[in-house]
Amino acid sequence: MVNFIPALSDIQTDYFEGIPILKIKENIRILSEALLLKRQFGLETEWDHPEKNIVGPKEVDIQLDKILLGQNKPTTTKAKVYRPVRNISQDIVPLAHCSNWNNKYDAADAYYPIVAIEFGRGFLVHTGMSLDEEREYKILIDIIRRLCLTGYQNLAGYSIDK
Amino acid sequence: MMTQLAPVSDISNGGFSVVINPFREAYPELGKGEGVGFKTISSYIRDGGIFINSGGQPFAYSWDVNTGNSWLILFRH
Repeated sequence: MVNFIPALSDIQTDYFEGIPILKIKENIRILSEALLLKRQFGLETEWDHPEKNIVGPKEVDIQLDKILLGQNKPTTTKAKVYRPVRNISQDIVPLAHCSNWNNKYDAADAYYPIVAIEFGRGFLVHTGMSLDEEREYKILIDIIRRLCLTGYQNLAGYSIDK
Repeated sequence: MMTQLAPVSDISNGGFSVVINPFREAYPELGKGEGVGFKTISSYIRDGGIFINSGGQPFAYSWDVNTGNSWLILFRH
């Protein structure tokens, strides 16, 4: 059975006596199992963690993974990450990663803002970035360009090699 | 590499290697929830396409192309 709920309100910034605050009109954490993304594609993303001061997009350092870099050296760039992925499975291919989204600068505690999920013979690419500013749009366009030029073959090869 | 704007109904004709959804957490749909729009997208991916979702959680909201209303899609057991 499917429930349909009108779109929830968004998060807005405001000021109270000169102090910046967040106005959250509604804030409901939804079970991943109730969402299409989990039910159809088996993917879960991270939600807000108010207890860790992670609410909405968070600026972190991200690096593209080898599947997009090819022979090029990895570079680190800043981006506002929103709804990254933590748990990787056999069908999920990381395309970019960050290690400080959870406020821990630990390479073992990696989060993946951009992943490709294998589905049938194709892939769904999840872009866990906030696209409110030009910087993130340029990163996304660069990823799409790399995906079309080299990543496409790598993704196809990934599926065959499994 | 050629790009073009296309309705959801056109993506399953085999002409697109990559499809980009620019609507972040929403996707275009007819009516409410999981309908012909999502079925078209999932068929496109299943048949070998690469579907890139731009930002946030993919398919969290359906966007009715006729009414302009947005719906959060939840399932319950």
